[in-house]
Amino acid sequence: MTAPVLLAADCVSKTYGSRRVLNSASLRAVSERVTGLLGRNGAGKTTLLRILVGMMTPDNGVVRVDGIGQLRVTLHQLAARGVFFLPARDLLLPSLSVMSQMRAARDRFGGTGDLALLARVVGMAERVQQSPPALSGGERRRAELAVALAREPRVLVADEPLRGIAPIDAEVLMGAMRQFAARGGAVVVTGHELPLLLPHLDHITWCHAGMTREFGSVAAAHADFAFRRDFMPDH
Amino acid sequence: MQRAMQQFWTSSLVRWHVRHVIGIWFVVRVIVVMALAFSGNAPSEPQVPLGVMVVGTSPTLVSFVFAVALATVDRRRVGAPLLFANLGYSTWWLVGTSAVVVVTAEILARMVLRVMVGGTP
Repeated sequence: MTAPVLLAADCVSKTYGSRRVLNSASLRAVSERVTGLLGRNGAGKTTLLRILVGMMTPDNGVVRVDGIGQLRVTLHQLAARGVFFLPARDLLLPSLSVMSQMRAARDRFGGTGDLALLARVVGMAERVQQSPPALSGGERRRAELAVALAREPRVLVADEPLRGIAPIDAEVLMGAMRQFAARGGAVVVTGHELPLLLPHLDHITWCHAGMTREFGSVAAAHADFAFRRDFMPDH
Repeated sequence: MQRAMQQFWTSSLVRWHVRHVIGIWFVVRVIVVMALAFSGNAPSEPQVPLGVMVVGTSPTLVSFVFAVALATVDRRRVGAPLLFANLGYSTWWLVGTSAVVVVTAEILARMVLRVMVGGTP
């Protein structure tokens, strides 16, 4: 049986002034799958992600939630339907402990998850009583993921979650995302840290010059000359 | 409704939001009053009376608009509105609750001022 598409942006276009950033691009968040949206800087990845999570309205195209097209969606509406967006910048409130924010995220939609267990999964068991400014960059990213998972979302969309963090932190983050996908969640992740990202991806969508191309498996992406030339020059 | 109200007040996120708005309102209010105080030609003799500076309509409205706008957008801690959105709170929720908090803070501050100066300031 095919895994369901929980969230999708289909054939979306976006223009900033005279510059066309996206041209009929598509992206899908599929249950039990970690999808990597890869591409060079300026290829339109972040714009596509923002359209997918309702932070931006496309000029053309449609966003579908559980297969149903939406005329206009916003992040808070999608959040109520189980979507969580991890931005590339800081997400958490600086003056509240990580545990308080995890609890608020869990209780908001009546979740019942074990927060202590979740803190252990993301390697934050010793640090959850700290507030974000007391954490290192890698710990902050793990704390953000802990808050996201405490909400018990169906779809997790992460914009460059591995940027500027140590490989050990990246492994913990991607491992937690993999576990989330294994329990039926859909993950969409962007980034440029290929050695850390690729082993955890089930599906690759390549964003190039405002358009997207579905490669499927990592092996299929490796086999494509244009992808290797543009994104993996060492191979 | 009762559950929603209970959730509203017990959420640490909402309590943070209320404290945050009060903090912003207080700072904005002080800045507006100071700006009016020093707007005269001679700083030692401000042209705007003290009563107008503190409870005048224009300073109150300016403080209200700036405080609500800053609490909603808050570019310095831009993550905050995004976390609220991720938890299902709309921008209008942020605007509305910020406005209610600012109006309440303004009313309470005026009551305190009246008690302090023994009448209408």
